[in-house]
Amino acid sequence: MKKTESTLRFSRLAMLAFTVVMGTGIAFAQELTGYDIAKRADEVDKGDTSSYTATMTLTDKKGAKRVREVTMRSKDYGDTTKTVIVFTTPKDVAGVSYLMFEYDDAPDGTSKDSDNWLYMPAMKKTRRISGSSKGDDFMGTDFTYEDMGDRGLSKDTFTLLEEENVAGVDCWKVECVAKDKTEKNPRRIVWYRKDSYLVQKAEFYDRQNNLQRVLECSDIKKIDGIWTTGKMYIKNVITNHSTVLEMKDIMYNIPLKDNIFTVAALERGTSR
Amino acid sequence: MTMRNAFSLLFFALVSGTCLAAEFDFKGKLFTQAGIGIPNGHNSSNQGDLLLGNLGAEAEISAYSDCWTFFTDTSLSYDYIVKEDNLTLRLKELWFDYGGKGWSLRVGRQLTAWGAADGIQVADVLCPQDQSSIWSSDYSESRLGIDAARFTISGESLAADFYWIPLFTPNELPLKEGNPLKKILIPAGVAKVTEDSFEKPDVALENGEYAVRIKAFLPFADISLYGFYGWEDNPVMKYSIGQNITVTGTYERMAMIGMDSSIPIGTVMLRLEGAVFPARAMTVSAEEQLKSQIMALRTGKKDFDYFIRRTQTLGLIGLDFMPSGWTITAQYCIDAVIGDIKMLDRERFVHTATFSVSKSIFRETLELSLTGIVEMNHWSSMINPSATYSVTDQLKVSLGANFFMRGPDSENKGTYAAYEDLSCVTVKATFSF
Repeated sequence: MKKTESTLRFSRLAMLAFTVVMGTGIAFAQELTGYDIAKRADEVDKGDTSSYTATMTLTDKKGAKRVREVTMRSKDYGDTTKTVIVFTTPKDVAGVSYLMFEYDDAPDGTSKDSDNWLYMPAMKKTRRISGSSKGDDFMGTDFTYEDMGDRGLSKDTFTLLEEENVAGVDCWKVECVAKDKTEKNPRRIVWYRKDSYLVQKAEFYDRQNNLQRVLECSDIKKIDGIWTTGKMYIKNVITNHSTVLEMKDIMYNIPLKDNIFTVAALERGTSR
Repeated sequence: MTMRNAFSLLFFALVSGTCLAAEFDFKGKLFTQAGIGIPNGHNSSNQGDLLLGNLGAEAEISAYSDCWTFFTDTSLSYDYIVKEDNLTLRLKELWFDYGGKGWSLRVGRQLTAWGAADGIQVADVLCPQDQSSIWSSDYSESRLGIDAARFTISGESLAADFYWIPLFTPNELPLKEGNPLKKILIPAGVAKVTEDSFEKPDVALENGEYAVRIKAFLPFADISLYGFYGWEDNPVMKYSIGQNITVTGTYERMAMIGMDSSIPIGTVMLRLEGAVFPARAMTVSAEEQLKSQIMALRTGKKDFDYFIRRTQTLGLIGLDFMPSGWTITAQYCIDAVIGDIKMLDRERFVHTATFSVSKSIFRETLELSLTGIVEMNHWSSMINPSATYSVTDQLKVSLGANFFMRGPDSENKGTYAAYEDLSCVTVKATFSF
């Protein structure tokens, strides 16, 4: 009898242990993957339209500063996002305008190059330009054209490394590895905020896997109900050059006319 | 009331009363430029001579509200090389633009660039040029405004511009005394030639110019179609025998139909452009004109043909490639004349190639570039290396050179051989504010 009771008790304990172990395994299986986090970050509400002024302060290793300022307006058309950027400072490039049509990845994961036009007021001409030089520096800053726009999810593989607290904010640390190894920064480590899926911090590695740039975001708050990063500081640790990007006059879901996002508007100067 | 006064009155009527509740933008620049002659291997006569020298200021003011814009661009420059009219005040642009959803009307002096070509004129015939200096640092600086009304209709992927240009503006020619380019245009021993030597069309409604551009922005390409009916921007030259040889001329009617396309292919941009000029007025060579005059005198005729009309066709193909911050451009252009050309001072087919390589380094504070144009019939060329450094965001300094080189053929040295004495090193400083 005693043997039967102890056997039964053991069996119940074993059942309980099994349930705990299996339950924990199921719980792990439901946790987010690196791709899930990146996807949610990509799907964060950015508003159907947005408008802001970005001021970029460039500082070289000697401390000398230069300032760039642009106004950006963007409108989401579903599978296409149209953006117009007008340069306002320095004065010798004031009026230069850039129109970009970015396309979402196709359902099969293939991506389509963006269509881009550059209007140069000195030439009185709009020039269609290739969209494939996105790795180039944006206006001499430490940001690239790709940093300023959207990067399709299909270009990278994502791995969740760990959870980490950065500047008092709980984050997921995700490794993003580009499928195209010839990219300027084929590997990135990105810290996504748990409260908003915005980027809190990022590290960019070059083709030799050396740390090249470090990005830190701050002044993150809700504007018009949309999580927004107000300030980004990026530093090239190799050249010791840094850029601070500050956004002001941020507005979402304001009416923006479709004809702002046309080449005709660039040439007429009404994209400002 | 003259046409010009009526146009001005209409313009100011549109502008007046609309500057209330406007936003304003201002930008300006101060500039100075100098060019010192360098030896070219065949002739050192200009070595060390000041071939180019000017200083000046330019100001742009714009006022705008939701549906209108007022814009003006004025420059004042002093050329210390020429011996007359050193000071030039130029109203480059002065226009008023008003529009609504899908349409706009722009009235006044305005600059427009047609075509997809860089530095070569194929279908880009709308705006005249300042040809008094060959050292304009880029093609854009040589463009002169047209006094026009432009009506535009536009949609998401289509736009059409319709121009009426009631007041004719010709190219500015290098006719001032002391201009180093003058001797290339006007032979030595010729009586004084000024702008008044060339007969312009009268200001009249029937003498207006008309132009249209239709442009489509498609996913696979941008395509434009052009049509122009107006006047040649350069006069056809008439060389008359008298006590001296006298150079006069007239501006003749010209028509053009053209097209261009920009096609993105991966990392490369392919540019195509073509233009046809039916029955274009072409100057008969000076030698043929003088022969014709002598024949005319012998036969008692008073006049002679100083120009003939031939159909001219131009075609261009260009490639742009921008890997890793480099900008590489190459173009090939063919210029063909149909019909009998023996009275003309040109060949039936003229082949031209251009190239340009540039790179910005040090956070886009230093731009290095090398551009060149090669006339492939006789392999004469112009090569232009330059470096532009942004000392601050406002101050830029440039150091460059213009090398004009003759071709290897001793009998025909090519187009750019005529300019080889003008090879020079140039320095330019620009302060923007």
